[in-house]
Amino acid sequence: MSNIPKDRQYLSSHEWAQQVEGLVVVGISEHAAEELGELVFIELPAEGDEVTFDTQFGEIESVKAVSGLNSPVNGKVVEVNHQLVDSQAAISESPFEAGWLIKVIPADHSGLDKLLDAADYEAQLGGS
Amino acid sequence: MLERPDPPMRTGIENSYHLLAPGPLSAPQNMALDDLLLDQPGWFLRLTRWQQPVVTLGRFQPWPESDDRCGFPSIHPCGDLPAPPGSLAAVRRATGGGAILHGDDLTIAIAGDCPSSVFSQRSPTAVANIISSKLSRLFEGHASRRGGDTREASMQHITDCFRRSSPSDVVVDGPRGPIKAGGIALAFRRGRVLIEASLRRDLLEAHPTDDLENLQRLGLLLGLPSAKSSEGDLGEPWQEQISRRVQQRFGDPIWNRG
Repeated sequence: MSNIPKDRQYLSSHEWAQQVEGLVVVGISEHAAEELGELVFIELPAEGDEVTFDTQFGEIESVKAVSGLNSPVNGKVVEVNHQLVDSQAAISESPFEAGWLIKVIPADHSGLDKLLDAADYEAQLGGS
Repeated sequence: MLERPDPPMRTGIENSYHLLAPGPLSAPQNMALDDLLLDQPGWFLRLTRWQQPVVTLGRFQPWPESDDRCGFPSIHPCGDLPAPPGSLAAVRRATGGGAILHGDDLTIAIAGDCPSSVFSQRSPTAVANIISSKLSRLFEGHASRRGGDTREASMQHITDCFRRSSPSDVVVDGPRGPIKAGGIALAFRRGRVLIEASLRRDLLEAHPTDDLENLQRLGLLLGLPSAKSSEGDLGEPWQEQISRRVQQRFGDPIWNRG
């Protein structure tokens, strides 16, 4: 069973959101990273871009497969994990820490209120 | 950064699949149609016909420079005019993987829900292995799935999909071991999966007259019930949405160059 930290919230499409000092940090879950396998490319938005709840903000390619990345929050991107463009290893090795994707200033909490907590996400994965 | 999906077009038979076999389309139109299927509800099995030989590139594959091509034809991005003489047009796919030269191959696409009864895991490896097993069964006696545990990420520098090796390859026996006869590439979006496959007709004895029958057999192998079939002209609603995606993306030389 994958690690599912309780200090963040989840989209059913496996992205996580963690609220830290007024920002929302976004990444993909360990389960998603495991399912994707070897990662080879990632496309992330630029700083200043707007992201919309449950709408695609980027794409990630594991071998042969391109997968959409969906935003768990409405808001503006203020920081992008640029290190991932050259190497996506951090996503596989540390999806909840070094493998974060973007940081967002939330425009509102309407999306965050709809996210799954860790228990519900675990249930979705069949873990309870 | 990415447009919202177009409104869904009803296929009429939601528990079945829609067999699409439009006439030959341009490379951007073909890729736009596959991309559209990723955003539509229902199951689609699709025969891809090309107006002329073209190259498709993986979504994030680096543009191949001449030193990297290793015998692969010279290419220019679709939408770039005038085209250099002797050069083939190249369009990007929504799916990953390496470059494929189309024209003499059998090109097909499958789009549907994932996870679902057909693909229980939303995992690229699991979906790729299922579909390549089914594809190889279309050519019983000729083909099998390569299997094994090849490290595909080490082959990203190889331009040509058919020079890369993957456990999900469809292979035939050759004098020096398995020969790649078919490759697949995937895209996942919003609970859906798109699979694009290119199969070598010469190695698989895949005759064009059998294409529709083979697609129907693939539907049965995937456990999908009977199909609604659309051949030839796709109709205005489809064409409008295809045109929009060609304009937005697949007909744009800058996007195609990557």
